[in-house]
Amino acid sequence: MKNIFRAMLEQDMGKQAKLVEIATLIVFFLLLFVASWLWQFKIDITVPGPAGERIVIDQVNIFELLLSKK
Amino acid sequence: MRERLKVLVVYLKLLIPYWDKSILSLLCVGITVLFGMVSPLITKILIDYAYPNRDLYLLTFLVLLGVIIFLFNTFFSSVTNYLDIYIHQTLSIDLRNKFFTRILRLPLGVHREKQVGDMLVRVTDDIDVIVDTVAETIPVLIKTALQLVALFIICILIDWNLTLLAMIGIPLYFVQTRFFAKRFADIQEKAQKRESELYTFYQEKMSNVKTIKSFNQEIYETGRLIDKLKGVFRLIRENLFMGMFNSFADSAIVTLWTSFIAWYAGYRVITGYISIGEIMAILVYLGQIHQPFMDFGEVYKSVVQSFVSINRVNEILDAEPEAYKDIRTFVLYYIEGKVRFEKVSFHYPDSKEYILKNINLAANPGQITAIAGASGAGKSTILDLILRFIEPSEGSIYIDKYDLKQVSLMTLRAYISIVSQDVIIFSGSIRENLQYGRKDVNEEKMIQAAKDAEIHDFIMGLPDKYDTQIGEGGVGLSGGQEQRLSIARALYRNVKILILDEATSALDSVSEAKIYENLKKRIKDKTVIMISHRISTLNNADKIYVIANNKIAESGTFDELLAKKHEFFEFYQAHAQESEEEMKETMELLKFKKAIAKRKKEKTKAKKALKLSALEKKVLRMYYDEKITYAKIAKELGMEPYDITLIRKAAKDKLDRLKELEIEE
Repeated sequence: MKNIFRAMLEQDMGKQAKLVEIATLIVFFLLLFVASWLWQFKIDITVPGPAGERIVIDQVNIFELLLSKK
Repeated sequence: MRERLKVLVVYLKLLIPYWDKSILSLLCVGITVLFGMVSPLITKILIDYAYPNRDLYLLTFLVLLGVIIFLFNTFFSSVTNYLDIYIHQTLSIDLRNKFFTRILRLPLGVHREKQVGDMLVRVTDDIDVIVDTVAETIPVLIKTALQLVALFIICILIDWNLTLLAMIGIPLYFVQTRFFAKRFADIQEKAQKRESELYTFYQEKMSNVKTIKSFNQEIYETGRLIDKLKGVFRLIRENLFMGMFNSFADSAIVTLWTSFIAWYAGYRVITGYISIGEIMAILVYLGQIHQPFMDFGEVYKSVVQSFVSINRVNEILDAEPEAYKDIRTFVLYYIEGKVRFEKVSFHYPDSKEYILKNINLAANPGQITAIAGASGAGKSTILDLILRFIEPSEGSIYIDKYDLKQVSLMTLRAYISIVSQDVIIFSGSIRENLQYGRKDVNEEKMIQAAKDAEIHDFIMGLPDKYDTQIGEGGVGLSGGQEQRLSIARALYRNVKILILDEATSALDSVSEAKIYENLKKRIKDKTVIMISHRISTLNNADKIYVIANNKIAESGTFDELLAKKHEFFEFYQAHAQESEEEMKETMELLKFKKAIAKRKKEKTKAKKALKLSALEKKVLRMYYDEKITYAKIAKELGMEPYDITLIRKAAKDKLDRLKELEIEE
């Protein structure tokens, strides 16, 4: 941990900033990938049936669910 | 308003070199704002769907989603912080570099107008305020605006009725923010002015501690400082009270407003228009709205306050520097160093009173030209004119055949070295001080310069010799030692024109005479211009110009001027009434000069006695150059070989003695 901290401090500020930029862009694309997967992923909205079983009443993605009105 | 827009454009221009990092930071800010909006929506789904339907699968999914959002949010917030600090630091360095370079390039007139303390506040506090505004406040402003827009959209989606009602409070908030921002800006302007005065006070007093002590004014000066500090404290209190009123107004508006919204939202739930989950989400959002509004108020106030600082910094950055005046100028490659004033007059632009009137003078290479006169006669103004710190109001100054106005400033000053009365020694080693202003290093020449300035022996007596640290935290030097070091520095630069402005005032007459003796050996092709009111110094000059009533009253050699019995004679008489100690010094000086003359005489006598006869020369030539034996020489000259050996030995001894004498010289 100490070594990582020292290495980060000793690195040239300009080069380090470039690395941070590249890392951010990679994570940003990862986020886009996760978001697009979530867009396609349908969540089953279920309610308990009379015999305790789960009855699916709707299939929506998370974005629709978050912005839905009850 | 237009003025403020202009300043905002200036701020955005400052960010141009960091456009890539700024955009990335903005993108990260946008993502974190969006993530900040998600939590209340997750709470809403939990309350409206997961808990009532006992949906464990949905609960697990939402918790996992929360964790993922948290991880991404932490990463993007850290990146925003990193990039903001990067922009902050590099902008701070860039701006200070730009400002400092401009300060050094400004004409001396501007430096005379501005006090040092004021400049210090501009280069420290004002630049800090600008950098904080550009690198921190503007991103916060953008983040706040994004947050408000996102909150507004989400609230509209949940319940447009409630949201529109909530918006009614916004104009009221803006009105009060604007009201206080103007008052905070006024206080800021007064505070910066007071800070500048305080810095100037500290700087002035700390550099004149000796005078304060000698006048027993310690208590008086401390009292003045307390008065000034009270003035600053009063402004801080003004700022504090204004902040308290502002905070009360802020809280009052926000509390009343959110309370009303909370009541109306509850009414909407009770009457069945919205669900419990939706009201929970909307109340969390309304709670979040409070913070961006508070942030926005703070940011707006600091942006308005920073307008004062940007105007103060721009005043310096927009001032015309010296070098820009150099349009179509000559670059001096080689000069002989002749300086000539032709009908030169000078007065300051804001005054009609002439400091110098119709000055004609010439300083030639190989000579020491002195300018004498009473204090305030305008002697130093002549030097400022030569160095082009100021421009003549009338007439022209020539260096060789070039008018100074047409000569590149950089090359002109590269040919001139100045040793002034107020010696500036920089903190560092003696070597660094001697090499100041020279890129090439020549150890031998540097030592010779130190020897000629009569400081070499002193340096060699120090523990680290030329590497001894002087100035702050180093060895302390006396006034005389500092002057010698300063002379050595000027001699080492080895330039064509050497200006000595009361350069030996802190030295005793004997040391001064020794330095001038050394100087005369070095100035065969150099022009030396000196200013002094010491008779012993003026005695070293080849030509003296006497200034009285702002013009040249008379000129000539030391003896000629005394014989004329005019201005210089009066000046001489006034200074001849010296104290006993000075008389003693003068006597010592005379003794020293006599000793030099005596030694010279003795040497000349000795040299005469050591002159080789024609026979001796012939013997030496045949023996050493032509390698002829004693026997053959004796045969050729018709003498005994033994006599030839005696003649050769005597002649050799004479030559060795002559060499020794030359080395001594």
